[in-house]
Amino acid sequence: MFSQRVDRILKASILGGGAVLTVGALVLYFGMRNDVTDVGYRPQQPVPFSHKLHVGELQIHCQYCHAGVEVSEHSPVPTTSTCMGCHIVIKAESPKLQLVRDSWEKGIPIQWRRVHKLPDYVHFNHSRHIRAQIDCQSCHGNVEIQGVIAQNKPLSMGWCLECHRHPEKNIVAARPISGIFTGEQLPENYREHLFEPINSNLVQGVALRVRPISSPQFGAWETDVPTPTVAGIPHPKLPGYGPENCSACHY
Amino acid sequence: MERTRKVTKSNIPPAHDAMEQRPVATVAEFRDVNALVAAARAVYERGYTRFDCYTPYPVHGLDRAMGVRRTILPYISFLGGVTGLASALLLQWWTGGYDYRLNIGGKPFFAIQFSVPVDFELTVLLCAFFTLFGLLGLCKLPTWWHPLQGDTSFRRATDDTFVVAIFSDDPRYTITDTEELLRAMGGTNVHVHTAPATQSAILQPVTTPSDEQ
Amino acid sequence: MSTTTAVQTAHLRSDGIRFEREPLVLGNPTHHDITTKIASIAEGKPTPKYLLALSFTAAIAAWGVGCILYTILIGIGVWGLNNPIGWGWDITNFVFWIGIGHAGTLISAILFLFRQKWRTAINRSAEAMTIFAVICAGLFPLIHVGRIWFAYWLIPYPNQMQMWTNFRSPLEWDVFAVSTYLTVSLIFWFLGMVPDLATLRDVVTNKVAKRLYGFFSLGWSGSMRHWHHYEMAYLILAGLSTPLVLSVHSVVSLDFTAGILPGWHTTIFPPYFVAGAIFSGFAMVMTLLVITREVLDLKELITMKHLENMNKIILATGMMVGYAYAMEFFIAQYSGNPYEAFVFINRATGDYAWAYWTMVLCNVVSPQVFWSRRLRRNVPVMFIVSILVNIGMWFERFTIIATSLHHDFLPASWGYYTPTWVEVSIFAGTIGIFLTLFLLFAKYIPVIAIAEVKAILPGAQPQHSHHGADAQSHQVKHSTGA
Repeated sequence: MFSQRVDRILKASILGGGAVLTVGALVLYFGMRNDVTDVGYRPQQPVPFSHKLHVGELQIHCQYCHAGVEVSEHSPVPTTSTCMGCHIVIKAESPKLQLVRDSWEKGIPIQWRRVHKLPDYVHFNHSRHIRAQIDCQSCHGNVEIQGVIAQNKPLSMGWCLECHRHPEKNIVAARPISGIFTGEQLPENYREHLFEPINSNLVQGVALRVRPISSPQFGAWETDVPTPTVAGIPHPKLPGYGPENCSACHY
Repeated sequence: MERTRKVTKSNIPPAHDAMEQRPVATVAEFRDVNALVAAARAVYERGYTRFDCYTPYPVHGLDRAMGVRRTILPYISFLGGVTGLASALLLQWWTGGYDYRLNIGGKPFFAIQFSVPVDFELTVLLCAFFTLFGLLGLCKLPTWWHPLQGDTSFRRATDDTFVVAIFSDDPRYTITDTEELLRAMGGTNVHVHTAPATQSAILQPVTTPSDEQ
Repeated sequence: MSTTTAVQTAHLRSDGIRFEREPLVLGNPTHHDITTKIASIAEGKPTPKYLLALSFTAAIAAWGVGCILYTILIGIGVWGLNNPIGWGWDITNFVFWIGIGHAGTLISAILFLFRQKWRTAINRSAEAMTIFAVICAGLFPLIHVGRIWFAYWLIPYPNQMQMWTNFRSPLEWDVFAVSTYLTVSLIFWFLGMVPDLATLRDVVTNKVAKRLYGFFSLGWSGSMRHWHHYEMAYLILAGLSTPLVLSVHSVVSLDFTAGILPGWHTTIFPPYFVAGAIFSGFAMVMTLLVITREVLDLKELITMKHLENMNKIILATGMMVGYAYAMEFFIAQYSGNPYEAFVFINRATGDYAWAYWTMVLCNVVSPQVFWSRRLRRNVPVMFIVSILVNIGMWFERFTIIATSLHHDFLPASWGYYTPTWVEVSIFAGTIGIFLTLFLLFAKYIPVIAIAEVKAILPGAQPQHSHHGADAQSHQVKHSTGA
């Protein structure tokens, strides 16, 4: 046994060590989240390109440069020729565009720094989301007021799921500036119609009527989740909602 | 109620300076387990409350002879078990049946049947934790210090000696009477353990509520 | 106290036959003798032989750890797993080690509840083996997941993926079962050790050792007011561990039974696995104890009676396992399920027949020698049988896993599995880890539950305690005074 002083020191150090560990764990847990570590990622790009100027002031649609995003899994980074389409005449002598002109002449692509990056095992399909009239801003933030582009959302799986579960709370509806055309001019009150499938009687009615996925004979928890089926097999995606099954994004 | 009377220090003279040696306890050794039990019973029946027996292994019936009330540890453990079971059910229902319903092979999102293994394990786990920390709490362990730690008899209590110690802050404690009692009950090497006054002022509370029957 | 008189615990049976109960502790030692005996093990300087053995096992362990790191770096492609056989040596070893880890808690908990006093001499080392074996077992699923740095995903905690673990999967039950088992076994082991560490604290002279024992004994004083709570805590933990030890291997068996593979999908698995686990656990305890009592000179505390009792349990559980082997075949035939029947015929006659018959010979045939009292009290015989049982039980798990997987429903995907040197090395490495930990334990931690052995010495308990019936039936004579 030790002296009373050592006893007190030991007890205090155990309590103190526990407290330090707890605080450390909490700091790690909350500090390592994507919305802390990744949001605001703003790398210096080789060319001082301003989205604020091009989108915000010049009102160029997103799809003008990121062409083909509505039919592709990926949103393309514009080629040098897209830039030069205008800049061959506009600001043709600007020293800021020297790198673009070099790239144009030598045929070597500009090495843009990628900002939004998902892990390899996640398949995010741009075209599906655009066809659902989800505006670019939902995931990329207010691009038209940003000079140098930055990551605006955490892009974590929880963030994806949050929107798949509650699209009506998270999605910014398609705006004309994004260039998401649905074939006809949007009416003034277009926002009210954007989530028609979700708010429609179809879904509401289904949600009320449909029995739980699993029969309650095994003690299944009663659920009001509707079960759309394809050829009798429950389909994981509910109309209007994003799918929540693993293989929707990890395939 | 005599046995639960608040501990006073009235019968200990005040210390004059910090280095003055003051009695901590009267300590007696016993070699025979039957004599130990008889002595413990006698000490208890005389109305002492601040006394303890130190033995190398649990002696059956000694706690009863000392008037120790039955431990409340089982209730603490039970609380742990209930907490574990409740948290297991809540965890499995909330995660699988409420927060993220994932259709896996058409199995129910939540059912009592498949929750049984985890229910059981968490019940056992929390029950064990509550038992461990309940025990440490009831015994006020870890305390790497003991008022008797310098005493030779006390040190041998973890080896082969039974020790009865009556602490000086017991209301009935007087050096002569206590020593006489322990001697009369067959204690050998009866002596007063002393310590500097500063230390004995912070005696470790060793008394648990005594049996009132 | 029991200082001078020899005590025979003899009594007259109702039919008039007088028999003597074999003493649990030989040589009639005093309490102080026992303290000195155990303390001298912890206090003595490590002998060259000990250091040699330790460095040998540590080298094997280091080699195994190196191979684990290699697996983690390269990926589990360095193993021999292939498409039909996705579980090979790794899961075999996992189940094997979990099985080894069953004897300790069985001895300490179930035999405690049954008031089997002979447990006291062997429970500490058996519990230590439990913990070391479960540590070895836990390694395998972790490295098998391939990305061990994500192994914490097995724990349900609120995360950025907003995902939860799948509680409908037996693999998740396994996570809870094994980690609970390890934790509760550790608590049980440590709690039982606190008074003994206090004893060592007060006896050893080495300053560092004294401080370490002092720290880990938490200031235990032997106060009867503490013993009062302590005994209750020990009883509760024993009560908790009893169903726990039965549940762990049941849950492990559910990893297999919840799959629809013939040969796995059977209701007999939980009891069959538990019996096998106790069987293999006792065999391992026997293997190590026979050596330990020899090397540490503990023959007076770990007596022939202890070994014989354990051999009886090995015989009994071996018969249970044999019954299960037979019953699997019977059910395969009786059910009329052609797939089930095929798997079992294939098991006994197919590619892995050599493994199957090794298993039967080791597990069912070899323990039969213990029907003879002379043989089950013969140290070399029990040592050999215990080793054979260890081998047999490893092959049992291998047979279950490999034979069911290598011929599944689709003949086109049938295959054969051979381990690579990496898998063999990792298994050898876990044996090294296990033995290293055990050697360290045997040297520095009280190998015998000192307080418990003292408590069962003749005359250790008062004559007219509330356990009076117990004392009377044994007619314990007390020698009063020293």
